[in-house]
Amino acid sequence: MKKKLIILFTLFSINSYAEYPYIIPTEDYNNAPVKSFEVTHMSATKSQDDVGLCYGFSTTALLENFRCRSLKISCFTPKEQLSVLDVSSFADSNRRAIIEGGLTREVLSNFAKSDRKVVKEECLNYSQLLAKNVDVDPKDPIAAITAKIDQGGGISRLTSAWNKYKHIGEKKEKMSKDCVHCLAVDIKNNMFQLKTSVDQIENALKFSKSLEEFMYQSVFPKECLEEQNKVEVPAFTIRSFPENGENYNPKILAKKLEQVLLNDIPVEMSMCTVLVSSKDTCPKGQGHSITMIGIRENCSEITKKCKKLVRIRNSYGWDWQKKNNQGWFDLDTLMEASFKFNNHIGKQFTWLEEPGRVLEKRSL
Amino acid sequence: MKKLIFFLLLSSNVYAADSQILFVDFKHLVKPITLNEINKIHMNHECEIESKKCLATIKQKISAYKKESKDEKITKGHPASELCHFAGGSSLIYFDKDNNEYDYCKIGNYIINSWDVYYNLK
Repeated sequence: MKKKLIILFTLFSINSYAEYPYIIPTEDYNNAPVKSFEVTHMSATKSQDDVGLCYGFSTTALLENFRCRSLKISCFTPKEQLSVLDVSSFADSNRRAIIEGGLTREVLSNFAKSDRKVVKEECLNYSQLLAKNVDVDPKDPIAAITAKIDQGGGISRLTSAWNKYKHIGEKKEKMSKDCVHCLAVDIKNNMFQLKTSVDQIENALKFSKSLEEFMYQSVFPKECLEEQNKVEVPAFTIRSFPENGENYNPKILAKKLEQVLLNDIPVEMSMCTVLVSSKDTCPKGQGHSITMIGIRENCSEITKKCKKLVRIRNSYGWDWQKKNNQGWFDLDTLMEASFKFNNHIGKQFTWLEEPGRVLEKRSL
Repeated sequence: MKKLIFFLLLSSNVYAADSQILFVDFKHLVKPITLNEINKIHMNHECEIESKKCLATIKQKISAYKKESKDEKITKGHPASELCHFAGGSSLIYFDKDNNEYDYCKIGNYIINSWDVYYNLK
Protein backbone atom coordinates (compact mmCIF):
# COMPACT_ATOMS: atom_id res chain seq x y z
CA MET A 1 0.00 0.00 0.00
CA LYS A 2 2.85 2.34 0.94
CA LYS A 3 4.54 1.73 -2.42
CA LYS A 4 1.31 2.48 -4.26
CA LEU A 5 0.93 5.75 -2.40
CA ILE A 6 4.50 6.70 -3.22
CA ILE A 7 3.92 5.97 -6.91
CA LEU A 8 0.73 8.03 -6.83
CA PHE A 9 2.56 10.87 -5.12
CA THR A 10 5.23 10.94 -7.81
CA LEU A 11 2.52 11.40 -10.42
CA PHE A 12 1.76 14.79 -8.92
CA SER A 13 3.74 17.23 -10.98
CA ILE A 14 5.24 20.15 -9.20
CA ASN A 15 4.87 23.44 -11.06
CA SER A 16 8.39 24.16 -12.13
CA TYR A 17 9.66 26.02 -15.14
CA ALA A 18 13.31 26.62 -14.39
CA GLU A 19 16.11 25.75 -16.74
CA TYR A 20 19.88 25.46 -16.36
CA PRO A 21 21.41 26.15 -13.93
CA TYR A 22 18.23 26.25 -11.83
CA ILE A 23 17.57 22.53 -11.61
CA ILE A 24 14.85 21.17 -9.36
CA PRO A 25 15.47 17.57 -8.28
CA THR A 26 12.93 14.96 -9.29
CA GLU A 27 9.71 14.71 -7.34
CA ASP A 28 10.84 11.90 -5.08
CA TYR A 29 13.33 14.32 -3.49
CA ASN A 30 10.71 16.95 -2.80
CA ASN A 31 9.14 15.56 0.32
CA ALA A 32 9.86 17.09 3.71
CA PRO A 33 13.54 17.96 4.11
CA VAL A 34 15.60 15.93 6.53
CA LYS A 35 17.61 18.99 7.58
CA SER A 36 17.01 22.61 6.61
CA PHE A 37 18.35 26.07 7.41
CA GLU A 38 17.50 29.52 6.11
CA VAL A 39 19.38 32.75 6.76
CA THR A 40 17.55 35.20 8.99
CA HIS A 41 17.13 38.97 8.50
CA MET A 42 16.66 38.77 4.74
CA SER A 43 14.84 41.58 2.96
CA ALA A 44 12.13 41.46 0.29
CA THR A 45 12.53 39.77 -3.10
CA LYS A 46 13.11 42.32 -5.82
CA SER A 47 13.11 42.56 -9.61
CA GLN A 48 15.84 43.92 -11.86
CA ASP A 49 13.41 44.23 -14.79
CA ASP A 50 15.39 44.61 -18.04
CA VAL A 51 18.47 46.24 -16.52
CA GLY A 52 21.81 44.45 -16.14
CA LEU A 53 22.13 45.23 -12.42
CA CYS A 54 21.90 41.72 -11.01
CA TYR A 55 25.15 42.35 -9.12
CA GLY A 56 23.63 45.51 -7.60
CA PHE A 57 20.67 43.53 -6.29
CA SER A 58 22.92 40.90 -4.76
CA THR A 59 25.13 43.56 -3.17
CA THR A 60 22.10 45.34 -1.76
CA ALA A 61 20.78 42.07 -0.32
CA LEU A 62 24.09 41.47 1.46
CA LEU A 63 24.26 45.03 2.85
CA GLU A 64 20.63 45.01 3.99
CA ASN A 65 21.06 41.66 5.71
CA PHE A 66 24.30 42.75 7.38
CA ARG A 67 22.79 46.00 8.62
CA CYS A 68 19.56 44.41 9.86
CA ARG A 69 21.48 41.57 11.52
CA SER A 70 23.91 44.00 13.20
CA LEU A 71 21.21 46.40 14.37
CA LYS A 72 18.69 43.61 15.11
CA ILE A 73 15.94 45.23 13.08
CA SER A 74 13.45 43.92 10.53
CA CYS A 75 14.57 44.16 6.95
CA PHE A 76 10.98 44.15 5.70
CA THR A 77 10.25 47.66 6.93
CA PRO A 78 10.22 49.88 3.82
CA LYS A 79 12.19 52.68 5.49
CA GLU A 80 15.03 50.26 6.20
CA GLN A 81 15.40 49.13 2.59
CA LEU A 82 18.46 50.40 0.73
CA SER A 83 18.31 51.93 -2.73
CA VAL A 84 19.59 49.40 -5.27
CA LEU A 85 20.45 52.23 -7.65
CA ASP A 86 22.53 54.00 -5.01
CA VAL A 87 24.32 50.81 -3.97
CA SER A 88 25.01 49.91 -7.62
CA SER A 89 26.46 53.38 -8.25
CA PHE A 90 29.54 52.38 -6.24
CA ALA A 91 30.56 50.05 -9.09
CA ASP A 92 32.99 52.67 -10.36
CA SER A 93 35.75 53.68 -7.98
CA ASN A 94 36.09 57.19 -9.41
CA ARG A 95 32.56 58.43 -9.97
CA ARG A 96 28.97 57.55 -9.22
CA ALA A 97 27.46 55.83 -12.23
CA ILE A 98 24.91 53.19 -13.23
CA ILE A 99 26.86 50.47 -15.01
CA GLU A 100 25.25 47.37 -16.47
CA GLY A 101 27.40 44.38 -15.61
CA GLY A 102 29.65 44.42 -12.58
CA LEU A 103 31.00 42.53 -9.60
CA THR A 104 29.62 42.56 -6.08
CA ARG A 105 33.01 42.52 -4.40
CA GLU A 106 34.12 45.63 -6.33
CA VAL A 107 30.97 47.51 -5.35
CA LEU A 108 31.48 46.52 -1.71
CA SER A 109 35.15 47.47 -1.83
CA ASN A 110 34.36 50.96 -3.16
CA PHE A 111 31.47 51.35 -0.73
CA ALA A 112 33.63 50.37 2.24
CA LYS A 113 35.99 53.27 1.41
CA SER A 114 33.11 55.77 1.55
CA ASP A 115 31.14 56.99 4.60
CA ARG A 116 29.09 53.79 4.26
CA LYS A 117 25.86 55.76 3.93
CA VAL A 118 23.24 54.65 1.44
CA VAL A 119 20.15 56.41 0.19
CA LYS A 120 16.90 54.74 1.23
CA GLU A 121 14.91 52.91 -1.43
CA GLU A 122 11.86 55.06 -0.58
CA CYS A 123 13.77 58.13 -1.80
CA LEU A 124 15.66 56.69 -4.79
CA ASN A 125 13.25 53.99 -5.91
CA TYR A 126 14.26 51.51 -8.61
CA SER A 127 10.92 51.98 -10.35
CA GLN A 128 12.23 55.35 -11.54
CA LEU A 129 14.12 53.43 -14.19
CA LEU A 130 10.94 52.03 -15.71
CA ALA A 131 9.62 53.71 -18.86
CA LYS A 132 6.41 53.61 -20.83
CA ASN A 133 6.37 52.65 -24.45
CA VAL A 134 4.68 55.10 -26.78
CA ASP A 135 2.00 54.08 -29.24
CA VAL A 136 3.33 54.36 -32.78
CA ASP A 137 1.38 55.65 -35.79
CA PRO A 138 1.72 52.78 -38.27
CA LYS A 139 1.50 55.26 -41.15
CA ASP A 140 4.58 57.17 -40.01
CA PRO A 141 7.67 55.07 -40.89
CA ILE A 142 10.15 57.53 -39.34
CA ALA A 143 8.30 57.57 -36.04
CA ALA A 144 8.16 53.78 -36.14
CA ILE A 145 11.92 53.51 -36.55
CA THR A 146 12.58 56.04 -33.81
CA ALA A 147 10.11 54.40 -31.48
CA LYS A 148 11.67 51.01 -32.07
CA ILE A 149 15.00 52.40 -30.94
CA ASP A 150 13.38 54.05 -27.95
CA GLN A 151 11.21 51.13 -26.91
CA GLY A 152 12.10 49.27 -23.80
CA GLY A 153 12.95 50.23 -20.27
CA GLY A 154 14.39 53.42 -18.90
CA ILE A 155 17.96 52.39 -19.60
CA SER A 156 17.12 52.16 -23.32
CA ARG A 157 15.54 55.62 -23.24
CA LEU A 158 18.44 57.20 -21.40
CA THR A 159 20.91 55.52 -23.73
CA SER A 160 18.99 56.70 -26.77
CA ALA A 161 18.88 60.29 -25.46
CA TRP A 162 22.59 60.24 -24.69
CA ASN A 163 23.44 58.90 -28.14
CA LYS A 164 21.34 61.59 -29.78
CA TYR A 165 22.98 64.31 -27.71
CA LYS A 166 26.44 62.98 -28.47
CA HIS A 167 25.63 62.37 -32.15
CA ILE A 168 26.42 58.70 -31.76
CA GLY A 169 24.91 56.41 -34.39
CA GLU A 170 23.64 56.90 -37.89
CA LYS A 171 21.81 60.15 -37.44
CA LYS A 172 24.20 63.05 -37.03
CA GLU A 173 21.88 65.95 -36.42
CA LYS A 174 23.18 69.25 -35.22
CA MET A 175 21.89 69.57 -31.69
CA SER A 176 20.58 73.01 -30.86
CA LYS A 177 20.11 74.15 -27.27
CA ASP A 178 16.35 73.72 -27.64
CA CYS A 179 16.80 70.11 -28.67
CA VAL A 180 18.82 69.36 -25.55
CA HIS A 181 15.88 70.67 -23.57
CA CYS A 182 13.55 68.60 -25.77
CA LEU A 183 15.54 65.45 -25.00
CA ALA A 184 15.23 66.17 -21.28
CA VAL A 185 11.48 66.77 -21.59
CA ASP A 186 11.07 63.55 -23.56
CA ILE A 187 12.88 61.59 -20.86
CA LYS A 188 10.78 63.15 -18.12
CA ASN A 189 7.54 62.42 -19.99
CA ASN A 190 8.34 58.81 -20.76
CA MET A 191 10.07 57.74 -17.56
CA PHE A 192 6.92 58.34 -15.62
CA GLN A 193 8.26 57.70 -12.15
CA LEU A 194 11.31 59.99 -12.35
CA LYS A 195 11.52 62.47 -9.47
CA THR A 196 14.30 64.54 -11.00
CA SER A 197 13.48 67.81 -12.75
CA VAL A 198 13.84 68.55 -16.45
CA ASP A 199 16.60 71.05 -15.59
CA GLN A 200 18.54 68.39 -13.70
CA ILE A 201 18.21 65.94 -16.60
CA GLU A 202 19.33 68.65 -19.03
CA ASN A 203 22.39 69.43 -16.90
CA ALA A 204 23.14 65.72 -16.64
CA LEU A 205 23.22 65.55 -20.45
CA LYS A 206 25.52 68.53 -20.73
CA PHE A 207 27.98 67.87 -17.92
CA SER A 208 28.28 64.09 -17.56
CA LYS A 209 31.49 62.57 -18.86
CA SER A 210 29.96 59.20 -19.77
CA LEU A 211 26.64 57.49 -20.45
CA GLU A 212 26.84 55.68 -17.11
CA GLU A 213 27.39 58.89 -15.17
CA PHE A 214 24.56 60.56 -17.11
CA MET A 215 22.19 57.72 -16.14
CA TYR A 216 23.01 58.16 -12.46
CA GLN A 217 22.69 61.96 -12.54
CA SER A 218 19.36 61.71 -14.40
CA VAL A 219 17.63 59.53 -11.83
CA PHE A 220 19.17 60.84 -8.57
CA PRO A 221 16.86 63.46 -6.95
CA LYS A 222 18.77 66.12 -5.00
CA GLU A 223 16.62 65.67 -1.90
CA CYS A 224 18.09 62.20 -1.49
CA LEU A 225 21.35 63.84 -0.45
CA GLU A 226 19.68 64.99 2.78
CA GLU A 227 20.64 63.01 5.88
CA GLN A 228 17.12 61.88 6.73
CA ASN A 229 16.99 60.03 3.41
CA LYS A 230 20.09 57.99 4.12
CA VAL A 231 21.05 55.12 6.42
CA GLU A 232 24.48 54.02 7.58
CA VAL A 233 25.76 50.47 7.28
CA PRO A 234 27.97 49.35 10.19
CA ALA A 235 31.61 48.55 9.42
CA PHE A 236 32.15 45.15 7.81
CA THR A 237 34.81 42.84 6.45
CA ILE A 238 34.44 41.60 2.87
CA ARG A 239 35.19 37.92 2.35
CA SER A 240 35.60 36.11 -0.96
CA PHE A 241 36.15 32.50 -1.85
CA PRO A 242 38.27 31.17 -3.33
CA GLU A 243 40.92 33.72 -2.59
CA ASN A 244 43.91 34.03 -4.90
CA GLY A 245 45.81 30.83 -5.41
CA GLU A 246 43.44 28.51 -3.57
CA ASN A 247 42.69 25.24 -5.28
CA TYR A 248 39.03 24.58 -5.66
CA ASN A 249 36.40 22.51 -7.41
CA PRO A 250 32.59 22.35 -7.21
CA LYS A 251 32.68 20.13 -4.13
CA ILE A 252 34.98 22.54 -2.29
CA LEU A 253 32.68 25.42 -3.27
CA ALA A 254 29.69 23.51 -1.90
CA LYS A 255 31.39 22.81 1.41
CA LYS A 256 32.39 26.44 1.88
CA LEU A 257 28.93 27.65 0.96
CA GLU A 258 27.36 25.33 3.49
CA GLN A 259 29.66 26.59 6.24
CA VAL A 260 28.96 30.27 5.58
CA LEU A 261 25.17 29.81 5.25
CA LEU A 262 25.02 27.83 8.49
CA ASN A 263 26.75 30.76 10.19
CA ASP A 264 23.59 32.70 9.24
CA ILE A 265 25.27 34.72 6.48
CA PRO A 266 23.91 35.06 2.92
CA VAL A 267 26.39 34.52 0.11
CA GLU A 268 26.57 36.24 -3.26
CA MET A 269 27.55 33.96 -6.09
CA SER A 270 28.67 34.68 -9.64
CA MET A 271 27.87 32.00 -12.19
CA CYS A 272 27.48 31.20 -15.84
CA THR A 273 23.88 30.75 -16.94
CA VAL A 274 24.73 28.55 -19.93
CA LEU A 275 26.31 25.15 -19.92
CA VAL A 276 29.95 25.35 -21.03
CA SER A 277 32.66 22.73 -21.15
CA SER A 278 35.45 22.93 -18.63
CA LYS A 279 37.79 24.43 -21.24
CA ASP A 280 35.41 27.17 -22.44
CA THR A 281 34.89 30.50 -20.77
CA CYS A 282 31.45 31.81 -19.98
CA PRO A 283 30.12 33.63 -23.08
CA LYS A 284 29.86 37.38 -22.83
CA GLY A 285 26.64 38.56 -21.28
CA GLN A 286 25.80 35.17 -19.76
CA GLY A 287 27.19 35.79 -16.32
CA HIS A 288 24.72 36.36 -13.50
CA SER A 289 24.81 37.17 -9.82
CA ILE A 290 22.45 35.63 -7.25
CA THR A 291 22.23 35.55 -3.46
CA MET A 292 22.10 32.25 -1.60
CA ILE A 293 20.03 32.22 1.54
CA GLY A 294 19.37 28.66 2.63
CA ILE A 295 20.45 25.04 2.44
CA ARG A 296 18.70 21.77 3.06
CA GLU A 297 18.97 18.05 2.52
CA ASN A 298 16.19 16.01 0.96
CA CYS A 299 16.19 12.23 0.68
CA SER A 300 14.38 9.98 -1.76
CA GLU A 301 12.00 7.37 -0.39
CA ILE A 302 12.51 5.34 -3.55
CA THR A 303 16.30 5.37 -4.00
CA LYS A 304 17.20 6.10 -0.35
CA LYS A 305 19.75 8.64 -1.64
CA CYS A 306 19.98 12.21 -0.37
CA LYS A 307 20.59 15.48 -2.21
CA LYS A 308 21.41 18.94 -1.00
CA LEU A 309 19.42 21.88 -2.23
CA VAL A 310 20.28 25.55 -1.90
CA ARG A 311 17.73 28.34 -1.70
CA ILE A 312 18.57 31.28 -3.91
CA ARG A 313 17.24 34.81 -3.95
CA ASN A 314 17.18 35.80 -7.61
CA SER A 315 16.49 39.36 -8.77
CA TYR A 316 13.64 38.14 -10.96
CA GLY A 317 10.79 39.08 -8.63
CA TRP A 318 8.59 37.08 -6.30
CA ASP A 319 6.58 35.27 -8.99
CA TRP A 320 9.73 33.67 -10.38
CA GLN A 321 10.59 32.37 -6.89
CA LYS A 322 7.07 30.97 -6.40
CA LYS A 323 6.96 29.31 -9.79
CA ASN A 324 10.37 27.71 -9.28
CA ASN A 325 10.16 25.61 -6.14
CA GLN A 326 10.31 28.73 -3.93
CA GLY A 327 13.92 29.18 -5.05
CA TRP A 328 15.19 25.75 -3.91
CA PHE A 329 17.51 24.18 -6.49
CA ASP A 330 20.03 21.41 -6.85
CA LEU A 331 23.23 22.49 -5.10
CA ASP A 332 25.62 20.49 -7.30
CA THR A 333 24.40 22.07 -10.55
CA LEU A 334 24.74 25.59 -9.18
CA MET A 335 28.24 24.87 -7.92
CA GLU A 336 29.20 23.61 -11.40
CA ALA A 337 27.77 26.80 -12.92
CA SER A 338 29.77 28.91 -10.50
CA PHE A 339 32.94 26.88 -11.00
CA LYS A 340 32.77 27.57 -14.75
CA PHE A 341 32.35 31.29 -14.32
CA ASN A 342 35.17 33.78 -14.64
CA ASN A 343 37.58 31.36 -16.28
CA HIS A 344 38.43 29.64 -13.02
CA ILE A 345 40.15 32.66 -11.50
CA GLY A 346 38.24 32.40 -8.28
CA LYS A 347 36.27 34.69 -5.99
CA GLN A 348 32.95 33.23 -7.05
CA PHE A 349 31.54 33.79 -3.56
CA THR A 350 31.34 37.07 -1.64
CA TRP A 351 29.88 37.72 1.80
CA LEU A 352 30.13 40.13 4.71
CA GLU A 353 31.32 39.45 8.23
CA GLU A 354 31.49 41.52 11.38
CA PRO A 355 35.10 42.73 11.83
CA GLY A 356 37.05 40.17 13.83
CA ARG A 357 34.46 37.41 13.46
CA VAL A 358 35.68 33.84 13.00
CA LEU A 359 33.22 31.53 11.30
CA GLU A 360 32.39 28.30 13.07
CA LYS A 361 32.95 25.05 11.24
CA ARG A 362 29.43 23.85 10.53
CA SER A 363 27.70 21.38 8.27
CA LEU A 364 24.14 20.15 7.95
CA MET B 1 -13.73 2.91 -6.27
CA LYS B 2 -9.96 2.66 -6.48
CA LYS B 3 -10.05 3.97 -10.03
CA LEU B 4 -12.19 6.92 -8.89
CA ILE B 5 -9.71 7.78 -6.12
CA PHE B 6 -6.85 7.48 -8.61
CA PHE B 7 -8.61 9.83 -11.03
CA LEU B 8 -9.41 12.35 -8.30
CA LEU B 9 -5.82 12.35 -7.10
CA LEU B 10 -4.56 13.01 -10.61
CA SER B 11 -7.07 15.73 -11.33
CA SER B 12 -6.11 17.60 -8.17
CA ASN B 13 -2.99 18.50 -10.11
CA VAL B 14 -5.02 21.34 -11.69
CA TYR B 15 -3.58 24.73 -10.76
CA ALA B 16 -6.01 26.54 -8.47
CA ALA B 17 -6.90 30.11 -9.45
CA ASP B 18 -5.90 32.83 -7.01
CA SER B 19 -5.79 36.60 -6.87
CA GLN B 20 -2.89 38.89 -6.25
CA ILE B 21 -3.63 41.98 -4.14
CA LEU B 22 -0.77 44.35 -4.74
CA PHE B 23 0.30 47.92 -4.13
CA VAL B 24 1.35 50.01 -7.09
CA ASP B 25 3.71 52.17 -5.01
CA PHE B 26 6.61 51.32 -2.71
CA LYS B 27 5.26 53.30 0.25
CA HIS B 28 1.76 51.72 -0.01
CA LEU B 29 0.10 55.15 -0.05
CA VAL B 30 -2.27 54.18 -2.87
CA LYS B 31 -5.02 51.61 -2.27
CA PRO B 32 -3.96 48.14 -3.46
CA ILE B 33 -5.38 46.64 -6.62
CA THR B 34 -6.66 43.12 -7.23
CA LEU B 35 -5.38 41.08 -10.14
CA ASN B 36 -7.43 37.96 -10.71
CA GLU B 37 -6.19 34.82 -12.41
CA ILE B 38 -7.83 33.69 -15.64
CA ASN B 39 -6.34 30.70 -17.46
CA LYS B 40 -3.15 30.94 -15.38
CA ILE B 41 -2.63 34.63 -16.18
CA HIS B 42 -3.05 37.30 -13.52
CA MET B 43 -4.59 40.37 -15.09
CA ASN B 44 -6.28 43.69 -14.40
CA HIS B 45 -10.01 44.34 -14.67
CA GLU B 46 -9.79 45.69 -18.24
CA CYS B 47 -8.20 42.47 -19.42
CA GLU B 48 -10.50 40.32 -17.34
CA ILE B 49 -13.76 41.71 -18.74
CA GLU B 50 -12.62 40.91 -22.27
CA SER B 51 -10.20 38.14 -21.44
CA LYS B 52 -10.43 36.31 -24.77
CA LYS B 53 -9.56 39.43 -26.73
CA CYS B 54 -6.90 40.44 -24.20
CA LEU B 55 -5.12 37.10 -24.26
CA ALA B 56 -5.43 36.84 -28.04
CA THR B 57 -3.84 40.29 -28.38
CA ILE B 58 -0.93 39.36 -26.17
CA LYS B 59 -0.41 36.03 -27.92
CA GLN B 60 -0.33 37.78 -31.26
CA LYS B 61 2.21 40.33 -30.04
CA ILE B 62 4.58 37.70 -28.67
CA SER B 63 4.08 35.20 -31.50
CA ALA B 64 7.22 36.37 -33.28
CA TYR B 65 9.36 36.01 -30.16
CA LYS B 66 11.82 33.23 -30.60
CA LYS B 67 13.84 31.90 -27.81
CA GLU B 68 17.27 32.33 -29.31
CA SER B 69 20.15 30.22 -28.25
CA LYS B 70 21.60 31.63 -25.05
CA ASP B 71 25.00 31.59 -26.65
CA GLU B 72 23.86 34.04 -29.30
CA LYS B 73 21.85 36.40 -27.22
CA ILE B 74 22.92 38.78 -24.52
CA THR B 75 20.12 39.24 -22.03
CA LYS B 76 20.81 41.98 -19.54
CA GLY B 77 17.66 41.81 -17.51
CA HIS B 78 15.29 38.97 -16.82
CA PRO B 79 13.52 37.19 -19.68
CA ALA B 80 9.95 38.07 -18.67
CA SER B 81 10.64 41.80 -18.88
CA GLU B 82 12.44 41.30 -22.18
CA LEU B 83 9.35 39.55 -23.54
CA CYS B 84 7.15 42.38 -22.26
CA HIS B 85 9.20 44.98 -24.11
CA PHE B 86 9.32 42.79 -27.21
CA ALA B 87 5.52 42.86 -27.19
CA GLY B 88 5.57 46.65 -27.02
CA GLY B 89 4.61 46.69 -23.37
CA SER B 90 5.88 48.79 -20.46
CA SER B 91 7.23 47.27 -17.28
CA LEU B 92 5.45 47.80 -14.02
CA ILE B 93 6.68 46.66 -10.64
CA TYR B 94 4.03 46.04 -7.99
CA PHE B 95 4.51 45.30 -4.29
CA ASP B 96 2.90 43.01 -1.75
CA LYS B 97 2.53 43.93 1.92
CA ASP B 98 6.15 42.91 2.60
CA ASN B 99 7.40 44.81 -0.46
CA ASN B 100 8.24 41.66 -2.37
CA GLU B 101 8.17 42.75 -6.01
CA TYR B 102 5.98 41.43 -8.82
CA ASP B 103 6.62 42.01 -12.51
CA TYR B 104 3.69 43.21 -14.58
CA CYS B 105 3.44 44.31 -18.20
CA LYS B 106 1.21 47.08 -19.51
CA ILE B 107 0.07 46.72 -23.12
CA GLY B 108 -2.47 49.36 -23.97
CA ASN B 109 -5.09 49.19 -21.19
CA TYR B 110 -4.22 45.62 -20.31
CA ILE B 111 -1.98 44.88 -17.34
CA ILE B 112 -0.82 41.28 -17.07
CA ASN B 113 1.65 39.34 -14.98
CA SER B 114 4.92 39.16 -16.94
CA TRP B 115 6.03 35.76 -15.63
CA ASP B 116 2.57 34.25 -16.20
CA VAL B 117 2.83 35.36 -19.83
CA TYR B 118 6.40 34.10 -20.16
CA TYR B 119 5.66 30.65 -18.81
CA ASN B 120 2.13 30.10 -20.11
CA LEU B 121 1.75 31.98 -23.38
CA LYS B 122 5.22 32.06 -24.93
